[in-house]
Amino acid sequence: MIISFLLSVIIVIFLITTYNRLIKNRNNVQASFSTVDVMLKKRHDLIPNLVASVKSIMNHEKSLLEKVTSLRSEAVQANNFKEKEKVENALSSLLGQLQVTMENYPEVKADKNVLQLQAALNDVEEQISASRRIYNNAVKRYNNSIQTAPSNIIANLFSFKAMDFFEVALPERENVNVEQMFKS
Amino acid sequence: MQSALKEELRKRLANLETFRRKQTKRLKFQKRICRILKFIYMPCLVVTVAALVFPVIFPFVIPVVVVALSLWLLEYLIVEYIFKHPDVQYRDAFKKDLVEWILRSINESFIYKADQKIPQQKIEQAQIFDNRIDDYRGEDHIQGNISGVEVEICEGRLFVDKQTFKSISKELANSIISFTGEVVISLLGGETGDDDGDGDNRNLIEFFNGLLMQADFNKQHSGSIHVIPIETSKNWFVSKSLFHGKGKVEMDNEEFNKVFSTYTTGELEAHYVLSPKLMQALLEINSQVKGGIYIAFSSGKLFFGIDWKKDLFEADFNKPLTSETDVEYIVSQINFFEILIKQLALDRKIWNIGATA
Repeated sequence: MIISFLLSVIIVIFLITTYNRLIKNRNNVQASFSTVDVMLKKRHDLIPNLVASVKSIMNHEKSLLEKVTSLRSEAVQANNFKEKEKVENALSSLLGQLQVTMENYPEVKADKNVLQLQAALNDVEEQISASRRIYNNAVKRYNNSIQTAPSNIIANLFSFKAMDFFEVALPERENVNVEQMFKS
Repeated sequence: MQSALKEELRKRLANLETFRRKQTKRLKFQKRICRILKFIYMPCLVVTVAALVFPVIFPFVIPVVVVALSLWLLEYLIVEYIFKHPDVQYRDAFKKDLVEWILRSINESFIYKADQKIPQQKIEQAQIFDNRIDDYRGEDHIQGNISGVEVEICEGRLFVDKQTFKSISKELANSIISFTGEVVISLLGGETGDDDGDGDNRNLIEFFNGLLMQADFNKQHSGSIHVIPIETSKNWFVSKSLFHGKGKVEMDNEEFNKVFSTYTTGELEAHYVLSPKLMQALLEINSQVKGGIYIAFSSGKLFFGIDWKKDLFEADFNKPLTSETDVEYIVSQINFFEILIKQLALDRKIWNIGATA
């Protein structure tokens, strides 16, 4: 009688703590995703200024600038996670392309306003990367908790679903060759 | 240009070696004189001590006491004012004539002060160590510009006074003893008193001995981030002290988490400052140097410490300075500063061009 009572108490405590942990982990994922969102919004706000500043100088890159603008609008409107991830990654790679192209225009490089916007954009890119890493870390922790025993039992019981990682666009994935730094 | 530098170096090495030999002879001569003086005044000192114990004989030994004290004073004067520590003089010449010259030849912006150090206040403000600093000794202060980055470097030894922990147990033991004593005395009908026997001596424990560096950091951020060796953070007494109030974060690099512990005022700041490249670079540095690495990022500055338990630029008085190995060692240490700056990518300032974000 006592043993069964103690056992049921232990099971209840286990249920409550595991459930709370899962909820906490899920909330962490949601909170970190909203941080990513804030950073992406910062980037969305910077793009129109950058495009407007370089438009008059970079006449030959009209199509690239138009592409950036339209992708930016798509990114602002994107609602679901997968769509957002796809559009933002495309935008990242296009912005990278734009920055490289800007290097060919000495007038752009000499423009203080453009340089400031470029610096701000680089900074935001770093912040996006940081927030995305936090998000992916939170997702990893959450997914681990719902997929490993014994917490997976509770996860299945309360329909906790695995979440997707915010995949990074391929060009950003390139690893740094630290050896090269020594040679320079 | 290169051959002129080599010629100058050879000249400086030859001059220093001549000076070292001269100073070695002076030191030997000084020791010989001091030995003779000691041979005379030591028996006299024994008589002086005996006169202090038995004041009756004092009037009879006054000349002996005077001789002992005079010779003692003479020895002091010889060491301090005539020979002026030949080994220390050589060390100073080594730093002034060789180290400073090498530093200036490699980087003209370097200002070298052999006897100075980075102010303690800067280290305390950066909170690079999760420890209180009760004593700080340092030397070989270098200030200058490496690849466009303002740096300040020095060799430092930091100490914490463990008297506090010791005194806790001592106080506890004392209170138990005094309580027991008071009970026994009161049972015997006597009066109890206050027994304040704790000493005021500091029990300094060295917790860092190595390179300290402060440099401009290229990312603007609020709050602070501290990275310390994981072994240090496992020390309960340490991790519960200064970093209290800053959360420990797990970075997204498992290897990094195995080697370092990261404390910060904000998780986003930590991930923003510690980019994957920087974490990789820190792991790389950690694998190359023997000794714990301590880093703090705050107020646009990076504070870096390597606890490698070795001196930066030290002259060996007993070893001839004939080969260029010593010079190569000095140059390699100076080059290491540049490697650090490059590896930590502090020279990339793309974020700071009037950053508006």
